[in-house]
Amino acid sequence: MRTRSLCVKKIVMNMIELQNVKVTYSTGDGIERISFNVAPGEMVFLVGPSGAGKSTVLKTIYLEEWPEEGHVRVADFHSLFIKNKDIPYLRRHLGVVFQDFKLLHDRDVFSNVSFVLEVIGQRKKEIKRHVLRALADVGLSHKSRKYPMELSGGEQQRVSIARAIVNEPNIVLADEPTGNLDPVTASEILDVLVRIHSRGTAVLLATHNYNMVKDYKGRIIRIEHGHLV
Amino acid sequence: MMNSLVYSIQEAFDGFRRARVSTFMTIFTISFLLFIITLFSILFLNADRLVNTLHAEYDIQAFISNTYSEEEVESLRQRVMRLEEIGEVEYVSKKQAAIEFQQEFGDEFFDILEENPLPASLIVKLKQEHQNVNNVKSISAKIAEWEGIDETVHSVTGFDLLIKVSNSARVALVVLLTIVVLGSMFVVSNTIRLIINARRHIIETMELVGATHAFIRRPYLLEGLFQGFLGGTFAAIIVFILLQIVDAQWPNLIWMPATYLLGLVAAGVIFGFLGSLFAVKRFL
Repeated sequence: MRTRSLCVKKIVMNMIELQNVKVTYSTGDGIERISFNVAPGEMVFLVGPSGAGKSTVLKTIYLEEWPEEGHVRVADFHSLFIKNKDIPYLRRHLGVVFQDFKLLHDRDVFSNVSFVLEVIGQRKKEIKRHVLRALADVGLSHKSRKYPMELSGGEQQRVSIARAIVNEPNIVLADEPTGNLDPVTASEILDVLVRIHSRGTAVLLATHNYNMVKDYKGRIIRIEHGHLV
Repeated sequence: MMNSLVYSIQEAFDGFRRARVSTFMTIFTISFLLFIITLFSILFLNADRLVNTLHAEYDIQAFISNTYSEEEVESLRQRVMRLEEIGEVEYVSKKQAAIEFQQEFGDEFFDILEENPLPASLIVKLKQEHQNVNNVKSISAKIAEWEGIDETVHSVTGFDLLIKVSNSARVALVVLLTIVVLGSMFVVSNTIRLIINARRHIIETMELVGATHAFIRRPYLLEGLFQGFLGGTFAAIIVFILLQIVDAQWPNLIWMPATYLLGLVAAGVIFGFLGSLFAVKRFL
């Protein structure tokens, strides 16, 4: 009985849980036997060379890729039981930052961040409050009416981070967030993510650059050729 | 719900602004196709009218034997009236027939002949709902068998070919109209699909931040609906102006129901909505 209650406690404690996850692409690449957890408020660096499978791991977490073996759990959503229509609700528990930013170039910075809240039907007043706070967190309040093309790469990534944190997710997934940036800007972006983490948000950051993250406080998970090492 | 609906409407209008050329093309396509459909409809409605006019002659004339007395003729008339399909029966006496004949051919006829050779007859008219070629033929044949009736004649025989042709023409028009409607749905769907394809990056990002498919679809459906409305309204204005011009030149040449223009707007809305529905279904 005690063992069972401990197990339940453990499940509830982990924000994200991957158990023996396997994904194979038609090219033969992919990931295999990936198991790890991320606890609330934890900082985890997923480190490995390009093509090692870091992005695939993150994609299985927000279910853009489905594990063909094993399972993924995010909060109460379980890959073995989730229905397609519930995937959007799983994603609302996460904030995702992409290497290529994925900003919408037809709308300004404010709208790029606000549409995450429009999606979940927040009230206008609330949206404004949250967006202004998120933009202040990444130091871009003064550029809210600029369009993405008018910003530098580092600033675009900050917008992407503001978008990821605006609905106050429990965890932020960052897929090579500094991959397209120069070292100084990359370090600034990392500082922004660390600041977000320091306020209690869990961060899972995938990067090929071990040297950049080795001095930060956090757990490091290594991945090579689709396997954890 | 209200907030996301407001967002969808705003997005739909922003979509107009962001893709002016595609939006204009969709509206133009819908207008043009509705205009083509209108041309077909004019043919369809007015061809129908012509055929209906020709079909108006559904009388049967039953010639009565010369040996029959007035009473016997009356009982024959009653017998015809009892048939379910018959609306009215008019008796044309020998004398009346002679007068009509005389009016048509002149007085010489009775100068030549000593007695009136024309038989009395019953002009049998079918009820409106039973007026068709088959009924005329079958009733005519049935009455011809009766005692006291020498012969029956009707005028639908000459129309047989014309009716066949007009029926085929109507079928052809319906087929063409269906093809044009389906074609227009396809064109509208493809135009909207191009618009959506250009925005797939936005759709992908929306999916990644947790937008439901229904939420992503809604602005496109509204956009299709608005475009359809504008396309339909534009087509209705053009058709209205053209009908005025034609009517001024050739009064009563073309007949259109008063609600047709409203129907055009409604058809535009339906085209736009269904077109965008098919288009988004391919993506989401």
